Amino acid sequence: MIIRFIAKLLAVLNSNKKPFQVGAGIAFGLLLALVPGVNLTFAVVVLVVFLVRVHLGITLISFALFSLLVPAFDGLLNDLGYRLLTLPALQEFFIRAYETPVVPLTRFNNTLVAGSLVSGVVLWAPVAFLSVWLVKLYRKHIHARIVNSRIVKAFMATPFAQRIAGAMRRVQAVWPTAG
Amino acid sequence: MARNKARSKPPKPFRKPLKPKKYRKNIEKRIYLEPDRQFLSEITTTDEAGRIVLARELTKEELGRLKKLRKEARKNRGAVRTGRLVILAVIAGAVLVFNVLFRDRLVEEGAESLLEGIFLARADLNGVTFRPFAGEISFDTLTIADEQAPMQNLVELSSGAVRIDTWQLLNRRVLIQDLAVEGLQFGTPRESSGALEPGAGPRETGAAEEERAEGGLRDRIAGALPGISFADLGLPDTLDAQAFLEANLDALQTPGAVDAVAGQATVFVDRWQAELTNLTADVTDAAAEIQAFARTDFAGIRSVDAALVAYSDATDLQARITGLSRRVESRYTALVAEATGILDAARAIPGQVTADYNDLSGRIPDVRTEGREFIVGLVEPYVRQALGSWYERILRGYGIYQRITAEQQERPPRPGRDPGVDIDFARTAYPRFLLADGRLGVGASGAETVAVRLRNVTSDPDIVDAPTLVEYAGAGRAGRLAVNAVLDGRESAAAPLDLRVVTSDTPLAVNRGLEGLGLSSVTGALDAAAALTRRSGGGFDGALELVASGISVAGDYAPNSIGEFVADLLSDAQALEAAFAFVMESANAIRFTSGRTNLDDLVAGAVRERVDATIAEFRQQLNDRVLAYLDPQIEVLTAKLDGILEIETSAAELLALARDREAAAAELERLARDSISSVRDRLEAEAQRALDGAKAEAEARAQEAIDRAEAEARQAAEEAAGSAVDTIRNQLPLPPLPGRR
Repeated sequence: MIIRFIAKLLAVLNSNKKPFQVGAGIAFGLLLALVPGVNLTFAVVVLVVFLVRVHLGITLISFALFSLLVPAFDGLLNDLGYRLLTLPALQEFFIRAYETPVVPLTRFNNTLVAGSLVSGVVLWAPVAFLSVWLVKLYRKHIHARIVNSRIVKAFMATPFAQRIAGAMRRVQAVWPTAG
Repeated sequence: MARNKARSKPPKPFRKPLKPKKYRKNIEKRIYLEPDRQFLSEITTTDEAGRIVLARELTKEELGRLKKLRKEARKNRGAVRTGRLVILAVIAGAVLVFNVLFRDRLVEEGAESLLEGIFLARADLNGVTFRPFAGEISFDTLTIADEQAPMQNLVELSSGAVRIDTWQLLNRRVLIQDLAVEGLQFGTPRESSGALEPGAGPRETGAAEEERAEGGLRDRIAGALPGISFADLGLPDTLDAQAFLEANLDALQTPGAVDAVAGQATVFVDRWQAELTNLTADVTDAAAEIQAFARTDFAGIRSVDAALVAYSDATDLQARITGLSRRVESRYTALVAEATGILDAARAIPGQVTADYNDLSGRIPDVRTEGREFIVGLVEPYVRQALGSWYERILRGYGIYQRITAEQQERPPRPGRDPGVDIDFARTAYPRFLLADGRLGVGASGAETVAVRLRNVTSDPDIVDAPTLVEYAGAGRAGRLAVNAVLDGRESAAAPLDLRVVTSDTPLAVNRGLEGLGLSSVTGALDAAAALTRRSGGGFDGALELVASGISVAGDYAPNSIGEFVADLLSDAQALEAAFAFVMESANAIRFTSGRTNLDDLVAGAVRERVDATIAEFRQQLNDRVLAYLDPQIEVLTAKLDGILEIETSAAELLALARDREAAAAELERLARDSISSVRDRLEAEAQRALDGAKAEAEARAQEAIDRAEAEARQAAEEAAGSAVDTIRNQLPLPPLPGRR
């Protein structure tokens, strides 16, 4: 199951999937990892991911990987959220939002949620486009080099790799047909 | 063959010539791998019309690859998954439609389920109208079956309406602005069983269930109530005076006091007996001396010397007798003082006996004070049994209230994440729960009326900034009941709870739980007013006023039993009135601070009369036992005290004798002194006479000499004067007198 999942992810990198789907998936994974807890903000992001054409597998693995990293930045996110929530110019907006039904369920008034949401939104586009560029780079240059390298060929000759390749062939006849 | 041909067909877009623009948009731009792009270039070409067509007949593998590329190209179209969006929209629409069409039914079922969970019996709610955005819900009828009697309803409501803030409901706040319920009825019959367990067996008739319930209740009461005995009333475990005396013998002070007085008396008698013997001997000797001196013949004394000798003897005797008398008197004073001390100590013994008796009596607990603890303990099982399952429901409701009012724990953002800080932007604070105004109407029958009004019932009283008001007014065959409660949960509240309950014309009928007294029923009418105020510092101040009138008692009780006592007491009383004020620091610590009641006079008086009779008999027995115990010691003491009195009498007699002897000695001294005076007077008279004779003779002679001397002197003076006149005339001629010219 895991091998199959990994194979699918590797296949995505060198498939005809739109690079932006992969990049957006990574960016949404980061955004989900940043937004703490189960609240309406998290639910809205999940709904957006569900409705937008992004690769869910990439999103999930991105979410998992970024979730390991994000807690290290909680202090910065808290500070950012606090500065944002205490901006005098935005006080009236926040008060109105807080008194609007449903909106408080987003927990936007939490410093970590606010800082994380703003950070996620701000980082979304750079992360997405950087990921797009990397995917394109991989597909154009790196993939072929890896496939044709002696190390990979030797590795692929091993029974373990054969099993992986078999599994991959069964689910998607992509690898290593490009060679 | 046809199937093989179908398989050999190219995928759909390539079956016809494609416009270049459409080909690039739908196929070429959605293929991102260069080998696949090259593959597409190889297999496609442009026809004469400029359209994109397959360049050649494709092999099977090429067709498969083309199909796969077509699928991938389709998956890459658009940024939004329109299919999912449509599905979501359909689901949302279905939910909306379902909610609109079946919303009321859903609310009905949800509410029924909730009520059945609370009341443990079937609940039926009909005619529900729910307007979620307006926050209004109403219903036509609501019936909740009685768990204890499934063939009747615990509660029936003819209509109800609620207006609630829906948006705040989404914010996890329950703000009920208005709640009105009409047609409340209790105990209405049901056509079908209200039991929640359908497989519990054949349905019993209401009478059978009631009978079973009564039996169970009786059994429960019998099991829950403690037996009534004197020990429960706080009296001693035994009424055996001797046993009670022996059990408390160490507390008696009288035996010690008797021993002390008896010891002092013994020493007193021994010591003073010896001393009185010595004094008596001295007094006897003195009497002998006086008698010997009295034999003196004072009239025969003729000489001064003899008189002086007698006088000296009398003076010496007087001095000795006086010293003896003073010594006797001194010792007598000391004896009396010592005897008085002993007698005083002896006189204090009856008082000590009384003190011991009072002390022993004080060890008999007072049923009129300690019996209250028993009564308090007696009330709780009655309340629990009287409320039955409602007791548990009230506890459950209290638990729900506590859960509602408890601060909800915020869920942590995510394990391992910083919880962050919630900044409060609330301009208006809302409570989590508020029932601004709730009214409960009367029953439909009209025979009984009930009106309940609740205001400002909230989980956050400080936010609402108003106390919760509960008003209840009920009237019916069972009398009238009015309850006014002010529940102030604010931190600044001076009195968190102020409860007033007034009942009037309430039939008083107790026909269960009296079997132990031999009574079958106690009936009458009861008026009651109760007030309970909880202090902010904790504890309660309470007051209770009760008036029970027209009491009659029925039963078959034994003579001289508690049952007879209770029956007499209640039947004889015109009205039982009681007003208590009490302080309750905790659930088990109720202290009555004041009481004004004829209940005290009647109950306490009757109890006192009965108990006092018992206690009096006990005290009499105790007194007899104490006296029987102390009498032998007191008799010994009395005998010793008699010795003291005899000695005192002897000393008094001795003292009288000494005084008599002193008087006799004084008389002798007087006789001696008189004798001496007589002799002296006689001698002085004789001397005076001689002296007077000599004096008269001397004076006569002196007068004669004086007379003679005066005559001689006068003659000599006359002669001398004549001579001197002549001399002067001779020596000095006198001038002629002026008149003589």
